Amino acid sequence: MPATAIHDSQPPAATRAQWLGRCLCHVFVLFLVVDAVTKLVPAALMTDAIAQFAQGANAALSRGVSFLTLVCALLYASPRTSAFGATLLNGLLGGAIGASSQDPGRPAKKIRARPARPVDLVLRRSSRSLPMRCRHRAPQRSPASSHARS
Amino acid sequence: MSAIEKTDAALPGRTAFFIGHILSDLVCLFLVFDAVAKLVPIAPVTEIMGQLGYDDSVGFTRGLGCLILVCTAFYAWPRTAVLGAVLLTGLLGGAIATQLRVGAPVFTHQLFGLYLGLMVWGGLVLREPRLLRLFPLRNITTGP
Repeated sequence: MPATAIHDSQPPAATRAQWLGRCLCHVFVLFLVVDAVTKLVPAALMTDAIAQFAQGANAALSRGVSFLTLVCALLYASPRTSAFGATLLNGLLGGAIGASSQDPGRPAKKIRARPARPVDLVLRRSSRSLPMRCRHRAPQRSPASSHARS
Repeated sequence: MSAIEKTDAALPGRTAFFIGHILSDLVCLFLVFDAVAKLVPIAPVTEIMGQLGYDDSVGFTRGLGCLILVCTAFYAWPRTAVLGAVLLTGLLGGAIATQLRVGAPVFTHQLFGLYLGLMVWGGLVLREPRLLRLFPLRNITTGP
């Protein structure tokens, strides 16, 4: 299988990339936890910010968003569910961008836009699904192909 | 070895494949419709954009329509369908935040993005069972 050959031929590069990916993940999770805790407390600064974001916002909404962030961060931090967590965080960050772009007075560079989180996953584990998926094959159960692959 | 066998066993059946296609096609149809209405843009759309707290200028509405169309195109093209689903997830997250912000009804408006997102990923997973090695639990036994 060509994929196995790629894995075997370049282990040092993969290790370095994995290390970088791990660092990115840790920094990002740290940021999310700090963000969630400040919302959970909730610090006056955050309540003010969230009051600008939503009409009739209160501590309960702040806690709700914080709880959601924590759950997503937890799923992302756990190795088994990191892909699922990355997808959920994508939606969360999409919401953050949407919320920021609603205030026309804010300069564009303050928008909390960051690269899609699955980037980290690609670095950590050479996934073949992103960004270019392997060529799609029509589903068919042929005993010959399964025999060849195993 | 066992992982490879499992993948082969997880090839989609014809029914799953067609249901996946129908789900994805429905999402694409809705999004193209939405994008075209924003690209024109028709008067009710700019009006609603203003009510939702966005810039209600023609340029901004067209930009958003363009963004939706690009994400949908990525999702519709088989080779970039996964990338498209990731982009659409961000887009739908933005839609949920927008509805949350104006205090819209929870189950019909706020969670509409969630329903659409479930269709996006559900349609993709049914057509591409290899994704089940990543979602919802990642298979981490097959490392280098």
